[in-house]
Amino acid sequence: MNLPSKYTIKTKKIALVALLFGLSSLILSSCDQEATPTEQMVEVMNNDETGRTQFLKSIRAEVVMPLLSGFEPKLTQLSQMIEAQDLEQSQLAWQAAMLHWQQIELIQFGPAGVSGLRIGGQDLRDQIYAFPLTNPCRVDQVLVNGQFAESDWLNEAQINVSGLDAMEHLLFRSGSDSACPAQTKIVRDGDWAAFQGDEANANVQKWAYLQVLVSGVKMHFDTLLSAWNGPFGQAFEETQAPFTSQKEVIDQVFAGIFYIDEVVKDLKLGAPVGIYMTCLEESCPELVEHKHSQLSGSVIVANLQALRAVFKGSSSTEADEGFGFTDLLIEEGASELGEQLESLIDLNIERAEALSGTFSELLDNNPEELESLHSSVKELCDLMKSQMVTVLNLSVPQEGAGDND
Amino acid sequence: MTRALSSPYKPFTLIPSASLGVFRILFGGVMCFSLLRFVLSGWVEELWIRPDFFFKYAWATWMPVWEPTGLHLHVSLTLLGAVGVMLGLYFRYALLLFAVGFTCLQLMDQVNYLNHYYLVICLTVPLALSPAGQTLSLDCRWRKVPFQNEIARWYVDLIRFQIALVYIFAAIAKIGEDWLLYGQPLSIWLSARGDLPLIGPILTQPITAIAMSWTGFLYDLLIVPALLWQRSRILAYLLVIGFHSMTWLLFDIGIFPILMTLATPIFFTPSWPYGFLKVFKLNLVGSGSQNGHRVSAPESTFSTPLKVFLVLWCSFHIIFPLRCFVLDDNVLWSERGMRYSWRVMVREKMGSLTYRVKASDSQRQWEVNPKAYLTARQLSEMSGQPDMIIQLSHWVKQRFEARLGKPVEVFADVWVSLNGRSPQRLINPNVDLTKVGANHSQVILPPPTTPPLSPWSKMSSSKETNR
Repeated sequence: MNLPSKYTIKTKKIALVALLFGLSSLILSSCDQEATPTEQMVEVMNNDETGRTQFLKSIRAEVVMPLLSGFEPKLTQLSQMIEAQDLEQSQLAWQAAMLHWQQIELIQFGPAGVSGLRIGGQDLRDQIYAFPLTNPCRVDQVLVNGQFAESDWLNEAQINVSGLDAMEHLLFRSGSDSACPAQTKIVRDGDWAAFQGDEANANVQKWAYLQVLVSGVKMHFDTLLSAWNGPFGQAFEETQAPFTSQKEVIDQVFAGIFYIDEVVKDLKLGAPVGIYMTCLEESCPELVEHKHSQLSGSVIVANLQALRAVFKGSSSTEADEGFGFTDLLIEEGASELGEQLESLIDLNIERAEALSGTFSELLDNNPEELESLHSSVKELCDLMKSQMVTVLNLSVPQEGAGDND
Repeated sequence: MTRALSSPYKPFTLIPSASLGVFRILFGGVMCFSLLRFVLSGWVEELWIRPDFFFKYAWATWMPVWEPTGLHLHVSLTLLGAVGVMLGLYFRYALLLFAVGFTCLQLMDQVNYLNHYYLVICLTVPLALSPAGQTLSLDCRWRKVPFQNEIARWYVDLIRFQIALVYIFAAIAKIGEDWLLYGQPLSIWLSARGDLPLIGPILTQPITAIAMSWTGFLYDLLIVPALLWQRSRILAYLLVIGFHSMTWLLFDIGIFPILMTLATPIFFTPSWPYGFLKVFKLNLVGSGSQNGHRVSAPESTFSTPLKVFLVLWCSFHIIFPLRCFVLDDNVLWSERGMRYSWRVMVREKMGSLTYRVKASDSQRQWEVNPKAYLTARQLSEMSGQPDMIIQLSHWVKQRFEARLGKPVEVFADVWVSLNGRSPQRLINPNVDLTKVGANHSQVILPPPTTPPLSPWSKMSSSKETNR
C-alpha cells in the first residue's frame, strides 16, 4: 500500500515527538545520578549476587540455622532434667527451651510450615508446639488412659497432646483438678479422681509421659534441623525445586513473619484482652498463652526479636552483617520505610519488656498496658501489610490461585 | 489505508470469511485451555468452593454460587460450549452456552474480576452476531450448514473494535506521573524478578522500568494502527508476540498474553489464513463448500433493532470506560471507574484492613480480621477496594449480631499503600459502613498527594548503605 508522503511525515513526526519526550524524561530523571544508566547497567551485569540472593543466604545462614542450633542444647537440657525427674529444674529448662522456641515460631516456612499451605511444609512446627490449638483436657485424658505408653503413639497422636504445650501443662499445673470439665468422661466416671488418688503412680505416669513428649519433640526437631541443614536449606538458599522463583521463596519468609499479625497481635494480645473477635467477654484470661508458666510477656519479646532478626538478616544482636528485609527495602529505595519498621519493632520489644506484670495480673489490674502494646503491634503490622508488601511486591501466601491483570 | 480513511465506511463490503473463522477457532481454543486450567489447577475449589463469603456485583446480587457438584457441572458445560465454539459445532448454541456459563462464573465472586475475562465476555457478542459458525466449522462439514466464503466486513470490524478498545484505553490509563515519570508499578514488579536468567539483573534497574513503562504505553497506543497498516503489520505482529511473551514471562496474567497474541491477527487482511493454509497444504473449508453449499453474505442493510443495538453497544464501550474522568477521583485510589475500563496492570496496591465492631448500646468494641471470613486471595484483592470493604461489613454485622444477640455498628481501619507510597487511610474510620448507601464515595478519604516510590531512589539508597 502506497501512502501519500504527507501521512507518512505526520506519523513519523508523532513517533519522533513521543520518542524525544520519552528519552528526554529518561535523561532528566537520571541526570542527578553519579554514574550513567549504562555504567550502572554494566555494573549490575557484572554483579552476580543480587540483594534477594543475599537475603536468602542470610535468612538461612544467619537467622534460621543459628536459631535452630541454639534450640538443640536447650532441648537436651530439658530432656536430661525430665529424665532426672527434677520438677523445678525441668520447669526452668522448659522455660528456657520455650523462650528460644518462640523465636523459631516465626520460621513457619519450609518443613516447619503447614503441609499443603507452605512449600516444603511438613507440619513440624505444629508437632512441636500447637498453640493456639492447645488442649490441656486432652493431655489429662491421655495421661489417665496411659495412651502415651503405646508403641507408635507419637506418630498417631494429635498435635495438642504431644508437644511443648502438653509438657507445659504437665510441668506447671497447680492443684489436682483436671483441666477437663465435669461432664467429660474421665471426670464424670471418677477416673481422674482415682488416678490422682494414687499419687505415686500419678507421678510415675506424668514423668513417663513427659519423657515420651520430650523424645517426640526431639524427633521432630531433628527432622526440622536436618531438613534445613540438607537439601531443603540448599533449595531455599539457591532457589531450587520445590521453589520456582526467588519471589516465591521470599513470599514464604514473609508468610512466616505474618505470625506477628495473626498470632501475636490477634491471638496472644488481642484475644485475652478482649479486643479480638474471638473473645466476646470483657476479657478472656483462658486464652492467655502460657498462663501457667507465666511466660506470656517474655514470649512476645522473643517473637519480636525473631522478627528483628529477619529484618536485620541476622539473629545476632551485635553483628550487622546480615541482609534482611530492611536491606531489601533499602535496595528498593524505601530506606525510610525500613528504618520505620525497625524502629517500630524495637519500640514494641521495649514495650513488651516493660510490661509491669504477668498477663493474668495485667488483665486483672492494668489491661490498658496490653491494649497499648496491641495498638503498637498493630501499627507495625499495618505498615508491613501495606507499604512493605507493595514495595517488595510480596504476596500473601495462598493468594496465588487465579491470575491478575 | 488513506483511501480507506477518506472514503465512507461501507459495512457490507464483502470480505473473505477465513479470518473470522480462524478467530473463532483460536478464541474457542484459548477458552478451552483456560477452563481446563481452572479445573486442573484446582481453582474451581479455590475460587468458588472454599470461600464462605462471596462478593456480589451490585447489579447481580441474584447470582448464586452452586454447590460443588453443580459448580463442576457448570464449569464442564461452559467448557463444552468452548469446545463447540472452537470446532464450530452447533456454533450458536455452543456460544450461548459458553457465554452464559462464563459470565455467570465471573458474576459469582466480584473478587475474581479480571479485565481479560471481561474482554472474553464482550467478544462473545460480536461473535454471536457474526456468521463465525459458517466458516471453517464442523457445522459446514457435518451439518450441512451453508458455508459463507465471504461476509460483510462489519462483523470483523466489530471484533477489531472490541480488541482495539483494550489497547487504546490501556494506553490512556497509563497517562499519568506514576507510570510515565516514575515507572511505577513496573519498577516494583520488575525488581522482584531479578532472579530471571540473563535479563534478571537488567530488570532491576530503574532505567529498565522507565523504558518499559514508555514502551508499554507506546505499544498500547500504536499497536492497533500498526497492525492495520499493511506495511508495518509484520513488524507489529512480531511486537505483539514479543510484548505478550514478555508479560507472560514476568507477570501472572494467565491467558491474557495468549488471548491477545491469538486475537490480534483479526487486524490482518481478512484473507490471511488462505496464504497460511496454502503454505501448510491444509483444507479447512470442508465438504460443504465442495458440495456446492457455498453462499455469499446476503445482507446489505442493518435491521433497525440491530442498528440501534450496535450504536448502543459501541457507544457504551467508548463512553463507559471514560467515566472516571467525570468522577473527579483518583481512580487508582478510589477504584471508582476502575472496572470495565481496561486499566490493565496500572497499580500495585495493598491494604491492611481491620474491622472494628461496636456494640450499639455500649462502648464495647472488637477488632475483626477479615481473614476470618475470606480466603487469602479474596482478602488480598478486596483490602484496597472500598465497595468490597463495605460489602463485607454487612456480613460482619450479621455474624456479630447473631453471636451477640444485639445490634452492632461496623467501622473499618484501612491503611493502603499505592505504588509504594506511604500508607494512608482509605476509608473514614468514623463512619458505620453498614449505613452507607450505594453511593459510597463520601466514605473514601482523599488520595495521596505524594509521588510514588521513585525507582531512582533505589540507586541512591544502595550507594548510601553499603552494608
